[in-house]
Amino acid sequence: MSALRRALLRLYHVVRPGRAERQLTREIEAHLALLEEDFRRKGRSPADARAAARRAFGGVEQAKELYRDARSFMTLDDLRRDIGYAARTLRRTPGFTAVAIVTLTLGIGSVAVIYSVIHNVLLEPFPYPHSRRMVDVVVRDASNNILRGALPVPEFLDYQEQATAFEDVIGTNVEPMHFLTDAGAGRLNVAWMTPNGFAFLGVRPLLGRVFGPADAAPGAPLVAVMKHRTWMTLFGADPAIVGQSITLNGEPRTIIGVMPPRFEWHVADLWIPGSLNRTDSAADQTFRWFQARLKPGGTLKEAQAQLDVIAVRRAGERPRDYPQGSFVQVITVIDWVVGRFRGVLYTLFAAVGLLLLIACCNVMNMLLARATAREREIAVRAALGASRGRIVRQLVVESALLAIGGGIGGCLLAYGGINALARLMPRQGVPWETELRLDQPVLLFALATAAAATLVFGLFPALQSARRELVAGTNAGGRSGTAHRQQRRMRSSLVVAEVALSIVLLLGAGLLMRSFLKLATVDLGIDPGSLVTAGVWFPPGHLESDAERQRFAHAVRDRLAGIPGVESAAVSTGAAAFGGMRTAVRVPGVPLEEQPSGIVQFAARDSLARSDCGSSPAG
Amino acid sequence: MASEAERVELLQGTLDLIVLRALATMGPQHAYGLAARLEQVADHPFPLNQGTLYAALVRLEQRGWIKGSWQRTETSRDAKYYAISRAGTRALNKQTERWRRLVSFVDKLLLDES
Repeated sequence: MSALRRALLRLYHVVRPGRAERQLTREIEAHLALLEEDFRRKGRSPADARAAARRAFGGVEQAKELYRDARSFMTLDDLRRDIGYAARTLRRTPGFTAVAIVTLTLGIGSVAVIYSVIHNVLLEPFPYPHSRRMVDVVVRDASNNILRGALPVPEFLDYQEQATAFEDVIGTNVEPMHFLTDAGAGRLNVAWMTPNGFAFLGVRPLLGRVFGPADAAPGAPLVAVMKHRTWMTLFGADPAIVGQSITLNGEPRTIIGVMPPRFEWHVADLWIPGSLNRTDSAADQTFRWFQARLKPGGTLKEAQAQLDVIAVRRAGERPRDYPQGSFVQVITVIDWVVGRFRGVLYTLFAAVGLLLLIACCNVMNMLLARATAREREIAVRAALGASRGRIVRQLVVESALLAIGGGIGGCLLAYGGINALARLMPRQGVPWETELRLDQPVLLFALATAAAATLVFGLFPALQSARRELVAGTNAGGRSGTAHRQQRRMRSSLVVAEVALSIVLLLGAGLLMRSFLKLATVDLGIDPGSLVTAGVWFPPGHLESDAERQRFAHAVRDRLAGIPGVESAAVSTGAAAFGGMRTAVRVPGVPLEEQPSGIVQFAARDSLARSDCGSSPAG
Repeated sequence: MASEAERVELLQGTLDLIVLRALATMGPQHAYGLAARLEQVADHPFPLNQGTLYAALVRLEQRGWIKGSWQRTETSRDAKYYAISRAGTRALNKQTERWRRLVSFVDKLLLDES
């Protein structure tokens, strides 16, 4: 009990030496003063008394040093000595040191890269405050497919008004719009957003201002807020953009602000205010994604329970909107965006964790092998009076130096790796707001990893060495059967563990390759090799009638087919193999289980389907 | 005071025992008081730099065997007084027992040798 108490206090004093040190100084001063007084009382002169007091006390600094040794585990001086010695030892074997550091660099670096992805994609992807409380509300059918992502306005308002679990609700929907500015024309993704949107998201604009409820009032001037990337690419980061006019689908609007880089709400280029009103004639045809922030302390379950009740009520009124088995789902925004990618990321993290473990095993094996070679040195140090703890400490400091080297290398590797990954990272399954970077949490993580690695690979060999030193010391030959057998066994098991871990990794990588090859060779039903597609959008007011559009499509097709080198040309509402509606098809007379699954795409000959003409690419 | 040559190395661990015993018999003492007392008791010049006491004091305090507190001396100086705790008294009994055994063992050995 008292030993444990002492160990804890010593540990405390390693961390916080200041107070105890001041007390010690005060105590020793008092002691010297008392001594001096005594000597004076015995008739010595003041100067003489002071000198005598000093003599009787002995060296003040030595006393302090002794006290410090007893108070905490090691003094800074000791630590400095250990580090110096360890550095010299490592320098004497540059090959060993380099291999160990490179091994650890690879391990720590890869773990840091994937941790950075996890941190920036899963843990802190959004620049919006309280984003962990942000939820999506969608309606799913019996087989868990999305029935309605964006909700019609009346349904939206029912959920918003009747649920009390939410602090605030935001409705957004992106609509591709034709735009016209002084600089040119084109297409932009424009998000309708409820006027509280920017207050909800809590991000300040980079330039100008954001819109609020006043901007959505009837008769208010039409405004728009622009995304940073759009501003950079389309408007050359023109600082005078605020106040300029942009015509969206024929309506001129004033650009009132530009958002900072990571603001990507619904990946829109522009955000425009739009209030939701049940009494609007188009309310049933106006859809908004329902996103909300839970009240502080509120849970997903509570919100789900409330919405379930509202959904049942609505289903009673409009049974066609809620087919058998359909249900409303509350899901955190991050889960909604990341979905199954989360599993992929954690699997990757486990894989690089294994890699680090293998690296640690490797270094541990190297250290054990080296310990055999260093037996004599350690025996000599023990003979010279180094305690077992002292030797363990020395060896652990050596390991820590290796780990720090590996940690620094790992951070450099992570820096390069993260930058490379940021360019290669797929946007699917990753929030657009994500910014991969080597930030403080990642650095801290790398540091912690290095520290943990030191314990994993350094402590055991150190303890082994220190134990063997006793045996070797008593044995003149310096060779002891049991100790060596034990060490051999340990090294063999390490090799076994490494091989096992490697096989796990290799199997995983092999399976991944197989899936990838399968995906790369999947039969699309078409040969995409020599296929080129392009999309065409009509500005509002152009080619409004079916006949005009068909004429246009025919003209385009014929002129394309006339280009030398073009084998054939076709027009469709969606690019081949992608796009278009999905539906189950039953072939009459064939039992259901024998019907093959496949992709069936319907295309009207020589025509653009009416409903899609305005907005989908024709290729 | 003893000159350097006369000072002999104290057996490891004995200083703790000595300090505990002194505190047990004398009641709370500051480090100087302890040192003075030890010098007084010793027949020979006490083989110790007074500063060495501090290592023993911190060890004992960390184990919870003694407890230090700042008080005024009779000459109205601030000094840290150490008092033995209940755990310290128990430990003292145990250590005394061990010491006795060790001494009798060593004595026996030495007598046999001579």
